[in-house]
Amino acid sequence: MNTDNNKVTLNKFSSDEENIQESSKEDIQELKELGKSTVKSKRGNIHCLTVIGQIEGHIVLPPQNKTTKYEHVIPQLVAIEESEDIDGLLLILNTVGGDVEAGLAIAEMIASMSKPSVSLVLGGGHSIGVPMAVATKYSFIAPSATMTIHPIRLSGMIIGVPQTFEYFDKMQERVVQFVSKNSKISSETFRSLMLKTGELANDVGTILFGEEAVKHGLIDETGGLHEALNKLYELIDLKKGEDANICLDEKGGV
Amino acid sequence: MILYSIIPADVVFGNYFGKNADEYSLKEILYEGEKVEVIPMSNNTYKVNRIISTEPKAYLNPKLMPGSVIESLK
Repeated sequence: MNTDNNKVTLNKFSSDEENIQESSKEDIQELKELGKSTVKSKRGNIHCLTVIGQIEGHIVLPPQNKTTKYEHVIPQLVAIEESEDIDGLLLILNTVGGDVEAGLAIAEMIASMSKPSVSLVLGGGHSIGVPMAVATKYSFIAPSATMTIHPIRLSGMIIGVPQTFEYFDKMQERVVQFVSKNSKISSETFRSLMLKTGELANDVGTILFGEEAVKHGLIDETGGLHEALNKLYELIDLKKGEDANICLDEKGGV
Repeated sequence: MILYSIIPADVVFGNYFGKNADEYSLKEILYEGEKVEVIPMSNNTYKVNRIISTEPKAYLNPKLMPGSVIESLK
């Protein structure tokens, strides 16, 4: 019943909006045909990538999981980097972790983008969400948000040989290296947070609250949407200024 | 695959081969120029489940709002 009601109101809404929508659509079409950029806000055009639930990589997770899929995100990042209409990327994180390879791949993609990017951790940015949060040029965390840092582990059948342990250590090192390279936290501090005992009920590791994450240098600042957007537009302005300078230099050289 | 998550693996992979899997049959389609995840319903109609796009304006399009019904795919 509820969905029916929703449908009715939505339909009404859309019919009221139709005329306005159509005229604005024509405007956009015109702009596209004339080769001009799409409609922008005064401060610049940004895209927003929301990462929710599990990061899904090589294995399709069962349907009870909410996932952010690798194959969706990667092409979107390429499109954002390549599009002339997009000035920056806002990354919103509320994730419980997921596939190490997929998470690191997305984080590396974001870290290697030339366009300004700002991340905002809301609710939680746990496990593989940590490298993703630090991948952007500047990072924010809501004061009430948490980040869980814990060792990588595997459930199910493993071969009980020393090499298995070494393999795990290597996998873990990838995360540690990425995080220490892309944030102000040292690899030693991050590793010690990862292996801390007495913080989690049945696990090794640490839960960092918003302020603590900033104190450890993992995240740049506490804040919310307003702060994150302001910072992103600030970075966009900075980049535009740099680009303009490069243009002037080139002209001067010739 | 190494799962690096705070959710225990048995919760993530629970019910994998259970009969519940069919109930959540979601489809991804391109509609109004944006990629959306839909739930197939009867009579070739689809209900929008979520938008998979980074374009903020797509989220303001009433036709793409979660719960709205797409009559036919054309």
